[in-house]
Amino acid sequence: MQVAAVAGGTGNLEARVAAALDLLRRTPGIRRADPISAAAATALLEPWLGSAAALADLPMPRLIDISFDTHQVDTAALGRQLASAVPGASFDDHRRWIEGLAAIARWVIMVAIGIVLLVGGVAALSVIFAVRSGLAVHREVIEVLHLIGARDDYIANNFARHTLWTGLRGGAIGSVLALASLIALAWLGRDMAPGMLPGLKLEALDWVLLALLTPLAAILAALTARSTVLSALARSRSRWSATSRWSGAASSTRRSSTRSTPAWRPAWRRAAPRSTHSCSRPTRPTAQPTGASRDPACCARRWPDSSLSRATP
Amino acid sequence: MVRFDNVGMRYGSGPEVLRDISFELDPGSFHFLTGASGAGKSTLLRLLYLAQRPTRGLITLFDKDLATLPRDEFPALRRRIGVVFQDFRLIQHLSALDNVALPLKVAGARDDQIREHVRELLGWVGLAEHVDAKPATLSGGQQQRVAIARAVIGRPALLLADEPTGNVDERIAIRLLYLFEELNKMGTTIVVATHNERLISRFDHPALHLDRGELVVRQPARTAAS
Repeated sequence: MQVAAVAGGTGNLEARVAAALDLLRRTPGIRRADPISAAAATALLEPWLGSAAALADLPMPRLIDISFDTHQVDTAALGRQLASAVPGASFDDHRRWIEGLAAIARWVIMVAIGIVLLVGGVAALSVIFAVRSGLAVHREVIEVLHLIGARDDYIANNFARHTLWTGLRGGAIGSVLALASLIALAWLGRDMAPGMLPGLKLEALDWVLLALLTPLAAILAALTARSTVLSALARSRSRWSATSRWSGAASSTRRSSTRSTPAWRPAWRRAAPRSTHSCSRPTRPTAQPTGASRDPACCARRWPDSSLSRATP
Repeated sequence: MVRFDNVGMRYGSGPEVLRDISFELDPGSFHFLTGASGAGKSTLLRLLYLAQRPTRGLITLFDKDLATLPRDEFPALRRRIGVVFQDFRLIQHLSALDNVALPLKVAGARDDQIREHVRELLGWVGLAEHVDAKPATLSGGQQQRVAIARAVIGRPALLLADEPTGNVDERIAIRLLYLFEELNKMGTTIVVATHNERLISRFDHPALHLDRGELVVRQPARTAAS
């Protein structure tokens, strides 16, 4: 609140300030009421009205800084009570314009969140369309992979891995550009109304969040790619089923129990010894020895002596 | 190993390309699959390597009835089948080594094991100096050997080759069949589709002959004569 020096006021200014303080401190709900010294008030006005010497001739009001419990104090009634009890006194409730600013700030935050969600959604859609294009382009490769025993999740994981690295690379480039933009904005705004706008300063947590943004976006893109591939392969499986094709049919994200006997095991090492029978009479394999040596000479013996490049009729 | 019972196959609403096909392949056997172009050889092979399902009839593979087999068991079944495609179907952006390694990677093998075994096999098919070459830089015969290496790297129980001699000269074709015989001696059941009767006559193996969608089993000439 303020107590005017001349206009409408009568009597000694300090006495009226003391009366106002007395009234305020007796009012329930007022937690604190402190007068602001004339020197401090002059300092507040200096940026707009000039030096303290020039201000000395002006009829400066006295200000009282009040904190109160908003639930207990009727500010309109308090203002009327002060005006009648202390001539020249007026009550200025800052909450009106602070609440307006806070509402604007809340809207700005909501819009920012909306933009982030929009950008995230667009990025996810981009990944979906890029992956679908990739599936179409690599259709024959995918068919070959299926025919050699690949499951859908093997193919999906490859797409996801590729997307993850692409996302990390793109995110790293974007982060560098964003950092440069932040530094440029801070440099451009260094002389703009200091004291009126908050400075552009990032705390440690802000930096951590910014650093996490790229890997999180890349992981999101990878998961999107994986999910897209799995659903696309599942859809094509349905189509193939309808047209009597099995190529994409035998796919599942579930690992088969046959993994316990890995087909990748160098089976020729476990092969039966070369038959001494005639070529025209094939022999069935005998029990396969295990724990074969990895000695190259031994390996060579595991394969037939005549390779394709050396075999002669 | 493989059993077909009255299998029929048609594409869409077209005519049946395979009719009442019934046969059985014993483990460790070697068969040619013959027939004129369009007789249904490739379709029969596609049924065998689970790229297609029949419109009627029953197929039993590795003692499993494919009609009732859950779909998620197909990949494990496919890993037991090696296929040499007529057009090789190598992945162009991968090296010879990576192409051959694919079945092992799909099965979850570790990289160090893969490299060791694939290099060994590529050496065995005479491509030790081309392990890092892309398919486009290899000749037709070399690509074919890469395709064969990819088909046998997992030591399949059943090896299917669709016209593997179609793109090579007679000398290489005979070498290729000797290679298949060697694999057959190691216990692999082999079916080689070809229409090269002269080549077939050099080997003493029975042939599954397709004539306008119907199957006839032919014994080799030497066995029939004896």
